[in-house]
Amino acid sequence: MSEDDAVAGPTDDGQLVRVEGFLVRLDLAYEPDGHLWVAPPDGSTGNVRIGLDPLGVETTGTVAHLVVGSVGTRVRRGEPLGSLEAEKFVGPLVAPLTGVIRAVNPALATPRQVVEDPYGTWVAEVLPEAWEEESAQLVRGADRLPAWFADEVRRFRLEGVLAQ
Amino acid sequence: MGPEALLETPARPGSRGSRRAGRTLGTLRVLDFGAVSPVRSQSLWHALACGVGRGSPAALALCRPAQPYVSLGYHRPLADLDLGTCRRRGLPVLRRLVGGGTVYLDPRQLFFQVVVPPDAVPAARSQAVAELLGPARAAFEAAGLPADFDQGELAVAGRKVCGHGAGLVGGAVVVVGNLLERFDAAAAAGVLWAPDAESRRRLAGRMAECVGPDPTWPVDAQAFAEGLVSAYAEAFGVTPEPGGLTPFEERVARRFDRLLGSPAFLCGPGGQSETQLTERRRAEIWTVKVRAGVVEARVVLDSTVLRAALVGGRLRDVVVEDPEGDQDPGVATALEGVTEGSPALEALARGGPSAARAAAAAARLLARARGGGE
Amino acid sequence: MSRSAGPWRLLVDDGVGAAEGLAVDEALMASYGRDRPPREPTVRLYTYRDHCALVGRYQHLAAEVDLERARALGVQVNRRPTGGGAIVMSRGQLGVAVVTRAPAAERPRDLLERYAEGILRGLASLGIEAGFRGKNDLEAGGRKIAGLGLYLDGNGALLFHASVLADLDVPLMLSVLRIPAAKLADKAVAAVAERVTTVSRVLGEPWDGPRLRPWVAAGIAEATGAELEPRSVEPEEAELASRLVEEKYTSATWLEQRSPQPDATASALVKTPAGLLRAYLAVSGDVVKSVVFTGDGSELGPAFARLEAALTWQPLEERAVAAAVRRAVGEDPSAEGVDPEALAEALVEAGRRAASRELAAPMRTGSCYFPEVTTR
Repeated sequence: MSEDDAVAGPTDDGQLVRVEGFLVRLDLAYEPDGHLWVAPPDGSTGNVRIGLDPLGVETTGTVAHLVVGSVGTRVRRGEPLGSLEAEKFVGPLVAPLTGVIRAVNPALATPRQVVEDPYGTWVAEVLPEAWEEESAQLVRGADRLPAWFADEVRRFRLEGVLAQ
Repeated sequence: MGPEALLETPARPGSRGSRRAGRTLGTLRVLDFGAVSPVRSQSLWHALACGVGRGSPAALALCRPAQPYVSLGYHRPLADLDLGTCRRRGLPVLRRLVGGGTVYLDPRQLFFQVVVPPDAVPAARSQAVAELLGPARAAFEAAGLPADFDQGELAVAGRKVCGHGAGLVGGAVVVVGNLLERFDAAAAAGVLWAPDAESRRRLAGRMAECVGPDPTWPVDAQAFAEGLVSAYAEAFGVTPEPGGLTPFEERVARRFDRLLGSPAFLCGPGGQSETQLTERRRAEIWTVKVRAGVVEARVVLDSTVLRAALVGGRLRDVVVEDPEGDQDPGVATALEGVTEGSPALEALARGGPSAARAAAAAARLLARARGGGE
Repeated sequence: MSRSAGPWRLLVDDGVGAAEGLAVDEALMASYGRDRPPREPTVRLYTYRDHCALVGRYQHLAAEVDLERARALGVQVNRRPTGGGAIVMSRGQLGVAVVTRAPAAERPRDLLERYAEGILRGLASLGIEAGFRGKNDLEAGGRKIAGLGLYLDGNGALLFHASVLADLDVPLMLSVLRIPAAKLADKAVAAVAERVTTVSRVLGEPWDGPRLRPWVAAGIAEATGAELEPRSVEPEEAELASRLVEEKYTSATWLEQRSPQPDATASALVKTPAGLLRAYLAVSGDVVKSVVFTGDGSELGPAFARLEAALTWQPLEERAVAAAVRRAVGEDPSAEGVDPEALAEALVEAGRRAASRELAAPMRTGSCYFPEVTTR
């Protein structure tokens, strides 16, 4: 990620912008601590899809294993949704929402896919219990997201987590 | 108590957040657990992490297993193991809550564990691991092993001398490592599942070649232990304080005694099933990571068996067995040193059917190896 | 090496009962747990009362000891917390215990060798040349003179234990311990004497544990660089020991405990130019626990005693066994022209047979002085 174009203009479909060299989808909400993306609830099922955002992927290192709890498990916001291993480091994947796991992406068997296509490779589908309250704590909105993401990239660079 | 409960996170998902890395540590507890049983060589430091996660000061611990055993990295499948051999050799099998591979551990390995609160290290995993493992380098040097970081591992002259793993356990960040005083490659290869005897023989050879110090190098464990304490005290800017586990940690250790080898926990976080085990054994590609950048592999494709090591993305020591082929020794030679997308693969693919099969097998292996981040 | 700063504590006692002797060793370990402040090691040099029969941690009591005979002879019976085979202890054998907390930087095996070196130096100062045989024996002139063991508890304390044969009442041992092979031999006492020796026998005059004690004490001091200071058991340790006697070492649960993995036994018959050779194996899992060779009537050469020791704790694999056989037998004429390859093959085959067999308790695993040789 060497491109240093501060906040660039929208890409082709208008939902994807490039920020500090990272692609950011403006139609998603983001869990700022875990750098997870959360899609709005599906119109018919009410399920939300969750995945790692490109900055989360970049600062995690090469993902070796990504395991999500089994379907039917109730998870709470702030508690483990699953576990992730990169660089021999195992840590929890922290749930951005409270709800019941409705599906786990079978593609996680090849964790490389998360790295290659973070937005395309959802990790879990959760039926949220308190979408209205909890989604208010996520970062979202085309007006806020580019600036927030740029700040995050700068912060990681300052900490030396990302190359300058 | 399920494993998830042990992967306690801070009350808010905040460890990646705004708190600046490098919080000053008040003190460094030093715990020498001595020689202990296999399960205690794991349970004691897991419990220590739970203590640090609840507010106890950072800690450095040392122990040595009194008997050999096998340890699975948190996410590794049981299918990594030849369980029959483990049982026959009386080797306990335990899963740990930190990452890394499936490893054979024995009394010629001195274990150390560094345990700190999450806000004392950078949020990025790779950096946290590098930062917490860094000071150990000086201790390896004191032991007579002038090791340097090589692809994230401590190595001397291409030989890995320290196995390591890390994780967030009980709310604390833990990095574990071992001083390989001597590495028993035959035993280590023997506990791993291998598709045939030749694969195991090659695996043992590969391990002997690049894991553990050269058997002729003297290793001073005493100097290592002393060097470790002073290196970490200096790195953290604190005075080491010898001590023991708190009563809370002792209680938690007894819970881990029961957990780490229990059948449900051994199955792993993904709940690996018999089917997965069988699938893995039927899989056409078998690989074992021997050290960073070195993988021993076997690929079966129709009548072709391709044996090779992958060293830095290149095929090495290639052997092609193809009873239906023309047994052209030139095929294996042509595959030597080949990387993904190399023209040599295309050239072979245009050759006879057995050469094409070998090239296809090699291509599959190279594609699989790409980006594998275990 | 962590050489000691202060003197080590030396404890001396004689004529202790079976339960008391074991309980004190264990009570001493409590002072070396992780939860206690560091302290210098303790060396205990002691003898048991005449006589005590002690089986190993995983042995079947009644299978190893003739309990009726023991009762009739007033022999106390108990179980050690350490592994290994059955032994008879009395004034004739010096018990050596070293209790310490092993730091992680030291291998337990290195500590065992250092303490055993103390015993070897003690014997050397008497003019007895002894050395290691296998992992857990000391031998003099090709015959066992001491047995060694190591025990680690869950708290980080380490107990090294040895019994040194100043003397041995072989007929009494044979009558109390169940050693069928020895009894089957034409001359049972001679069969034992082939394998075991004592300080009395080597020096040609009567020795016993108390007489041997100062020599071993000096040897240990020399080998460890420590000064030994005679002291006594602390009140807290004595209290714990008497509690252990009551609650553990005299309880039926402890005495009747059974092995989690019983040993399997089998025998192999090998033709040699000199006649038939029979090997009796005890295997545990895929490891050889003991082997005893008997010839058809004639006394076997020293090559076979070496081989018995070399095979102990070998994995039950052709390569390992063949290598051990070649090492021990080599070109030695006393091996009576036995073919190492054929012997190894027969041994492994018998071992596998034993290991694969459904096992029925009780199984004998044998005495330290004469490994088990049950035929099945």
